[in-house]
Amino acid sequence: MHRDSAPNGLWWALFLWASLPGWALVVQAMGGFGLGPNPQESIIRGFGQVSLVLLLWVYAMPLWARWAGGQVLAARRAMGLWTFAYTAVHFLAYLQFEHDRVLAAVWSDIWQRPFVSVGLIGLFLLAALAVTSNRLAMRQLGARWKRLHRAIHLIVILSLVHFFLHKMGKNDYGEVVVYAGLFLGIALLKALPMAAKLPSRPSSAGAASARFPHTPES
Amino acid sequence: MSPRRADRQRRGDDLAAQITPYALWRDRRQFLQASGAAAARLAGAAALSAVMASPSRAVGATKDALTPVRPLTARPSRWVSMEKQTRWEDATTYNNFYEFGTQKSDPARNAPGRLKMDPWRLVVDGLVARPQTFGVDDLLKLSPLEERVYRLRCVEGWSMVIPWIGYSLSALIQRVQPLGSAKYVAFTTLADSQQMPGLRSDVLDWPYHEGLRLDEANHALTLLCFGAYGQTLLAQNGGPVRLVVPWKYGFKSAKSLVRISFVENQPECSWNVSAPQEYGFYSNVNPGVAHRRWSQATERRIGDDSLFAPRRPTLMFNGYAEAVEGLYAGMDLRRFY
Repeated sequence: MHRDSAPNGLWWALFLWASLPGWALVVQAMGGFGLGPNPQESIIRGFGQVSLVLLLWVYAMPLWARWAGGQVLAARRAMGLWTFAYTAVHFLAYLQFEHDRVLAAVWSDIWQRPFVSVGLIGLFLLAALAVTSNRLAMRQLGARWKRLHRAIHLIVILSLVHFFLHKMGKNDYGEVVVYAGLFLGIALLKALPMAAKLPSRPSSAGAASARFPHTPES
Repeated sequence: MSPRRADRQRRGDDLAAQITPYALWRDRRQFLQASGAAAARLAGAAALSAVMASPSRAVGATKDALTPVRPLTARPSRWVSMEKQTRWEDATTYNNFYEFGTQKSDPARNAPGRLKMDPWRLVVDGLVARPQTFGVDDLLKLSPLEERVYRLRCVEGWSMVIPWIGYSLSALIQRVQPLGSAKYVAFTTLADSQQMPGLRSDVLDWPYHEGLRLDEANHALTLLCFGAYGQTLLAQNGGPVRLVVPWKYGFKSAKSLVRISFVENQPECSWNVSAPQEYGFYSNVNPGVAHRRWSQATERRIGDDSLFAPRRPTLMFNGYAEAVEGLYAGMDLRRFY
């Protein structure tokens, strides 16, 4: 994605796939079905969950690239922007449905409730990555761009902490454990690049890194 | 027809049934058919979006899907909120009953057809002159049934208005005659892993237990509840017999009761044990005392018409302050939350 590649079929497929939860919500909200007796809560939590799933997916993209070929990475920026979009809607839904846009209430929430503050820090970091995802910003930032975008590690961790603190209220950690396990699994596999680079990974790897020379594999 | 049923029908000039004219008897066959349809509908929603899917709003049809219920007639009472009642479809598909899963759609999915509500035994024991084990039919005869339309405020920040059927717990308390040493009442919910898949998780220490001070338990508002919406309680709502304490957060109103014990010391309560800093023994609805994770100042009324309907201000003691504040005279409700 860090080069000028025209969107191909895979790019479009991933783009449409990532947009599905958004379409589903529009259809459900307009049709008045599928959101249950507490639609506001379903919207807030649904978008939170979609954001987390997509975030982990983006986080894992270098792995997909290892196994499925480097062209997967062409869609990484689009996937990242979708992740940011869903997270932003998650936050806007919280503003609207939890606080009726009363900013004073939001402000006190941010200071009183760690799960809100942690979520917000994650959102700000994600926003920073989103606004620096264009080529102009990449050029301007140079080597710092890569360092900045390593913040995705932190964003994933903050998101999991946010989710954990939220679930703590009801002692219900089942889903948190699943997502944390996925994160650890992905992080571990990403940290073991050698294993993947050895014989099991023939020519496609070379092709991938030739095609995307600046792809951070961190 | 059993004499008892005939009697109930004779008595039943059916105010409640006029309000909520649901079909009367539902047999197991209907249950299976309708739950198949419900499952198909859910699968459709899931296909649309696995993450956003939750039970469809169009659950009306699944009222045929629920465990056999029978009509329950009750006289009107003075405790009737005039607010718009929560739709039956919402009140029976959205609630917490962790024994059947931690999602609020789980109880409606898992409890019907699993929870065996007949026969049922409720043990009343402890510091009482006349300990006794009751069947549900004994309990139904113990005092005239009333319809009480109460606000229900969940600690999670949502609320409903539900027409419960039952009578003041004080009637049962009178029957068993507590000793002078009895200061508290402990309530225990059924815990049977055969019937309750949620027990596999260690979210709470099972069985679910709750408690009230004896004077709270004796308050006229404290309801021993057998029905809602003109019929016997559904499994997911805590049938066949539960507690309803309208001025406290919903989790104090223990469901599917198997034991009520009179004790001297403040009993342990499941949520209080699992997260003492978040759920106190009293757990009175109080907009001024925030939960750790969210403010309790406002609430989302389930069934408000518009998606953008504002939240409502939460009332002290859930609006029952006039009736119950005397119970807490002189107490620091910030400390005893």
